[in-house]
Amino acid sequence: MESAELSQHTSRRFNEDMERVTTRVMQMGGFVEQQLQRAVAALVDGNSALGEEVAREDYRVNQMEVEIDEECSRIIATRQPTATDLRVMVAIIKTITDLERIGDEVEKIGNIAARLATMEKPADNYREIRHLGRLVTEMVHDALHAFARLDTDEAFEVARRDRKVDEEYEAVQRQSITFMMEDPRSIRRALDIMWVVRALERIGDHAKNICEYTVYMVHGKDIRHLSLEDAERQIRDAARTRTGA
Amino acid sequence: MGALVAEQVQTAVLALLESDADSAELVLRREQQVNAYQTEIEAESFRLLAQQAPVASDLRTVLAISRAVTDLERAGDESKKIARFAHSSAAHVTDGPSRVMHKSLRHMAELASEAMRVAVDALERGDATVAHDVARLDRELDQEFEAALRQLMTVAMERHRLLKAVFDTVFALKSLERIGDHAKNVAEHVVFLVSGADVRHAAARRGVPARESQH
Repeated sequence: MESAELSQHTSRRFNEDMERVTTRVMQMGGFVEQQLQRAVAALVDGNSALGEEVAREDYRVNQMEVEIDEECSRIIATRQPTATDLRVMVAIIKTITDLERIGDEVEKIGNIAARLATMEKPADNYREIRHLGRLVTEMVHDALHAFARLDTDEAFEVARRDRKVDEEYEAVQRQSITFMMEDPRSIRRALDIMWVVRALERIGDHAKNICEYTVYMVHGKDIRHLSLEDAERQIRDAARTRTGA
Repeated sequence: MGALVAEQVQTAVLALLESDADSAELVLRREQQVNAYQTEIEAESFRLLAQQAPVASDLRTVLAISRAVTDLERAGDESKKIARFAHSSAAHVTDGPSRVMHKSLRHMAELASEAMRVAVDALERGDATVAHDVARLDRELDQEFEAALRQLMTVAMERHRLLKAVFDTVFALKSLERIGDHAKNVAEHVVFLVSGADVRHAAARRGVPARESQH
């Protein structure tokens, strides 16, 4: 077989592989998102059975991670992708690691929801948690959307939202401490709520990581340890240099 | 990088136990270096993968190293949090939770430090035999953490003036517990590196739910 033909053949196979893997990543993401929504609902509605179910289902997320990870390794080994394609593979492997970690945080929320279901609900009926839950669920959803479309503008926009999540996290933490001081009997519950809020905050961080992988995938630049402003500026400058403007 | 992170954990623990501000500052200063290592090592691994058309075993090495680097960087982050706590007022409240909890803090700090030291040592020597030692240390840390948490709740209920300090202490303990997790992961990556067996999510492979920590 001629080598040009061979490489074309390889590249078509690679594209098919990539499409299949990307679909599975999106399925995994969709499932994680659904788990997250259900975990928050279990907490807010005091639905202990739902909380337990969510926690129990986390193994499926782990399973998907292992399977996709193995599939990626197989593709890299058999198709020997070019540097650009390889970057996509690396970004996928990193993304599923963060999705798996989101799954772990969701599992914690599910367990806590199950435990708190029997207790009296706080006066505000978890208003803050519902709000924070919505924020991070949207972040996960939009981060994956940006990832699938290689849309770095959207990725940056989603990553910036993490700051809002961090602020809310701090606010809820301060507020719980005030509540507890007023009513020490609520301390046990308040600590559990604190773990939930912290889990949500972490999920925001993971969503932000996925945004960073999108930038890496598209521009080949590792922006993890840069501020978002610096990262955006550097990428803009690099683009300008390339176009010679 | 491994040596630096093990050092970061140890210095942070020292800052915490001896209330040593210089050690705390040293940890905060060196954190950037840990991050720089991560960026460099991953870029280097990527170059290797891209240039050499790797065979399966190279790929395994590169992936395991990349994962180990991620865990090391996270352990570095936790060290930074511990150093910040050591620096904060919460660590110095007279009769505050961190004083009451000094024994637990010390025990957990020693366990975390030991776990990371053993894991990094295993990584350096490519020694897969210590993975269950590290796992044992990690389990011990988890148990200590649960016990400390119960004890802290009692402190919180009795003296709710100290609530803020209690929570800061809870998070410092949590960081120590997380360092144990990362050490365990590093040791697992070494097993994968040496033998090619992926011991993560062993239960997931069998399709049964894994029991994990509550927090």
